[in-house]
Amino acid sequence: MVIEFFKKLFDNDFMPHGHCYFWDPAIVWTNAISGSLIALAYLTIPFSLLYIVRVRKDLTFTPLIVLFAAFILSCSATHIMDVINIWNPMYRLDSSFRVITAVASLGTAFMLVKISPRILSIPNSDVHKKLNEELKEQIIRLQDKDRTVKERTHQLQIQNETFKVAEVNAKFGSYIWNMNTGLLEYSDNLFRLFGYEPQEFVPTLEKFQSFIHPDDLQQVIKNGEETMQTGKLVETPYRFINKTGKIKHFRSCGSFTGDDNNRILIGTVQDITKDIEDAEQLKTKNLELELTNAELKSFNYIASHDLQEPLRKIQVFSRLILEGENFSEKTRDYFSRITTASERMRNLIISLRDFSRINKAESIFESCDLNTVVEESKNDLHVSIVEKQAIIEYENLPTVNGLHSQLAQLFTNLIDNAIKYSQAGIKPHIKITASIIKGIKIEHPSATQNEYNVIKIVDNGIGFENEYATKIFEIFQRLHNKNEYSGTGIGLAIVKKIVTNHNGFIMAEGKRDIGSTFTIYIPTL
Amino acid sequence: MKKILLIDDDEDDQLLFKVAIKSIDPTMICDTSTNGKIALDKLKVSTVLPDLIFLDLNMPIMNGFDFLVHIKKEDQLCRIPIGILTTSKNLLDQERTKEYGAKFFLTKPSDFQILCGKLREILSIDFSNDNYFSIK
Repeated sequence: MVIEFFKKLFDNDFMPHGHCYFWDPAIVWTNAISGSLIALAYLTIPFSLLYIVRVRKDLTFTPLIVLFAAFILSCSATHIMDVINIWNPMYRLDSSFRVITAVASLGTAFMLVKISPRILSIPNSDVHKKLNEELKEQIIRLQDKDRTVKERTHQLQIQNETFKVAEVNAKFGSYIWNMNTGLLEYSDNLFRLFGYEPQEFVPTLEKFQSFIHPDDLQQVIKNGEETMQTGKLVETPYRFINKTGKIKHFRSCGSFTGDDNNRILIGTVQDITKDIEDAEQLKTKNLELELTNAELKSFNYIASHDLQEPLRKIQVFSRLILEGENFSEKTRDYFSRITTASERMRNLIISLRDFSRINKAESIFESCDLNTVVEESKNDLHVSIVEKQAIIEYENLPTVNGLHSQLAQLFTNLIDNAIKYSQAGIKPHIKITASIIKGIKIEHPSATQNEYNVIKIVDNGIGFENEYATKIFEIFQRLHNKNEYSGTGIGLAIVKKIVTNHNGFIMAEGKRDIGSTFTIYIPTL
Repeated sequence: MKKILLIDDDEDDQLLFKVAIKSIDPTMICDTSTNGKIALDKLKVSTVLPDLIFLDLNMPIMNGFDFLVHIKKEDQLCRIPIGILTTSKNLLDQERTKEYGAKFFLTKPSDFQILCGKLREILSIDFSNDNYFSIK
């Protein structure tokens, strides 16, 4: 019977459907054309759907789409049959397509009902948009993070390089020791400190210990054990022997990081060999200086006592002889030369002793009114002032911070000089004036203070050639013959030393046969 | 004042001192010792004690300071007036010797006439009280 059915499938032994339209051309063609267009459209839809399914493998509802395509396709078949049936009534074939269409549509409808909740749960396009935007933002954020990471990595690289250069410059090396894994890392410069090229060997604890001086090793190990127990690093200097066998001094320090499962010791060792050598040298130099100072002190004592004693005897006995006997003029002259020479030597010794005694370290500064100081100096020089009929003028001198006795000696020496080096037949006239000047306005390398008192001592004496302006302050520098003017050549050296002690400086100016000007700069209070 | 004692290790100064004393008072007896120890031993056994002692400070074996300390322990000798005759100009030495009971402090002058003048002044002083005398 089935074979019979398929045989008759394409038979058209029925009345054409056009008869139902009474072959009215309008109805016939309207139905024919619209049916054909529907069929064409229905044919296009399943192919498009199948194409989409093939390309978009990610689509969730592929079986439904395929079923739907089959349903549309079968629908298109029924429409094609409608058109054919107008003229060629193959109702059996038509019925077969309709059965297929019924099955496909039922299947599609069933599946659609079944999966409709899932379809409803698919986010709509607005949600998609939002999600997309969020996704974009996240991507931007990730990109930002990536950039930051790159920047940080770059900064770290710079810091790492800086650290490496610093290690070389400061002569230190570092190591990282993971106490749980035993892994040890040396910095490049630590290798260099040991006398090797960076990363020349595999660093181990044993290797590290092998560099340590045998005499110091026990102590270093002991310190290490103590560190392990207490968690506190014991900082000790120790020696090590580098590749070339040279003994070097290290100072180590470090800190712990990480937790109990991952304890890491970060250590640095610094090569302090030069510091230690310098300190040793300084110690030796200090010792030498102390010795020299002690010698100088004993020289001072000898100068103030022992050296003067024989001279005193020469003077006393010479005078004693001269008083007692009746000597010829010649003998008297010789004896008088002996006493003059010994007096001169005594003055030299006293000046030299005074010069060496002028010391800053042993004294405490106080406020000194220079008007009082100059008055005292005038009193000290009373005899020669009267003798030479000297005029000394001064007014409104400042009060400075200093040592009264030294400042008195300063003015005594300067006034004494002015009287001593006066012009024959002209009464010495000495003027002392004071003013204030800012340090920056003075062209002198020693003018480091903010403000200075300027004290000028002007005389009308014999003056000097300006080429000697600095030389006259040097010890034992004399510009004149001993017989011409008395003087030890120490007076101005003492003056300079006193001014320097008071954080000041002195300058001299001279004009031959007109006079000299000494300018003292002493910081204001 | 009839008898004086000079304790000084410097022979030149001893000579000068003796000459000066002779020029002031030719009848004055002037003994000398070269250090504190010799002087102290001599004084302990002497029958006639000096009326005044001139004492140098810087001497070997027993210096002037130690002599001042030691003589104060001797009942027979502690009342003899003692003055300092030294090359020192040190004010600290002057203060210390005053504390130890010295009556005056004279720095040896480098002029003989001045020495004579000073000694004349000293020899005219009455040392019977506890005063300290500054010699100018």
